Amino acid sequence: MASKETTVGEILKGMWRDNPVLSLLLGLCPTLAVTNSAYNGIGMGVATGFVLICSNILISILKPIIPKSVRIPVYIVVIATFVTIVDMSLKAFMFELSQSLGLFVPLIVVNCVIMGRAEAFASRNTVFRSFLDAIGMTLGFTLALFVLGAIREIIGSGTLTLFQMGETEIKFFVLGKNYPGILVMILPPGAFLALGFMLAAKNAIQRRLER
Amino acid sequence: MPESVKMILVLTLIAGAAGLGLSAVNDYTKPLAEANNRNYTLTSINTVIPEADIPDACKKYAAAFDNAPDRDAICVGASTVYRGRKGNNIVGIAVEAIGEEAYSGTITVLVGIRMSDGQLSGLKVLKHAETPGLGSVMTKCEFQQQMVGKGPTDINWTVVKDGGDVNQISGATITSRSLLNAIHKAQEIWKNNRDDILNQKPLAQGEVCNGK
Repeated sequence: MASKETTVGEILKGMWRDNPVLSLLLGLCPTLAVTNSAYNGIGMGVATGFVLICSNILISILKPIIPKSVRIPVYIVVIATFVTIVDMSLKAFMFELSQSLGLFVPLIVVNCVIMGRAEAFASRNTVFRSFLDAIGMTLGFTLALFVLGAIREIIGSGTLTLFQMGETEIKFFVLGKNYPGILVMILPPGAFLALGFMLAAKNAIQRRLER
Repeated sequence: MPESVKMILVLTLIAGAAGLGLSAVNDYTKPLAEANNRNYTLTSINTVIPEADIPDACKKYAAAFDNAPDRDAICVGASTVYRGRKGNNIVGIAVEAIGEEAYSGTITVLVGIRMSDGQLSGLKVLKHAETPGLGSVMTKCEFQQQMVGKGPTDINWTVVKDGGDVNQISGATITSRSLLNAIHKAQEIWKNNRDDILNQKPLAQGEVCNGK
């Protein structure tokens, strides 16, 4: 199964076939909550990705010494440690992003993507494969969050924010400066609407590819 | 080694290593995070005590003070009052006031009041959980413009719906009332607690106001 994948295939798998958001439907709480702008989506994706990559590597290294019966507590300790490091680093180096992501950074601990990959992949594969798997999953997760955030931001407020820190920001007024905005897309229901269409699109493309 | 001993050993070791790692990261990032927080407070105070005769809420000004108001704060009731001084004279205060009964909990607003005439010199919403796009409009300068730069008797500080002069945010009258509630608190402090503002000793670092 997974062990037959090539290096590139391992990465692509996380981006498309096993995309954590669009195929596995994992980690939807942060996905839906923070993606009211493209930049928040990228930020959340990268923060989660850092935790995912570090924990996948560490868990696959520790795998031989972890007794089976305490593996879940060990995973949680490892994941929680990396999440706390991310949280502290964001507060120190990216103050504004940490404010707009708020409570959702500590909540990465309970993101099922990370726990799921630790249990289903890192605990059964080599360090290198686990690393590739984490990279693929991170790219897939970040891409999905970015697209979702971009769709919601463009339709909801007519802008596309790619970067924001103090006075510097990269922001496009995609639909003109006088765009009135569609509030519902910024609110939680907009996340469900946009995600629904994204899932439909992904399935449609998948079906066409298979034919 | 029996399985149970191994279990305890592994888990203890990993948790210990995690704790050690975290304390190292914490030692490194804590001063930086604190500097960020302080910087944010000072920038906010700058926004609400601007160097301008009749400030425009949408424009940026230099600070009217030359001290560090966050190290010169006092408590009046539950509100923190930051004192902005030029030389030794207090030119303006920034009151961290709570607006009660907002649409979702309370809102925390930094209200700037000019010392000489009580003019509302600036508003900065620090914390709120109002509906994005409706209640959150209160953070926009276009909405705040109608109040910033006005003295305590220039306008009637209630929403139009209640017979005042402040145009409420359409669809968010409750939020507008709550914001005004916070402004009222700051204006009351300016009017009634002048002695405290002038004479009270600044809070020690790390001390917070709890309503006593």
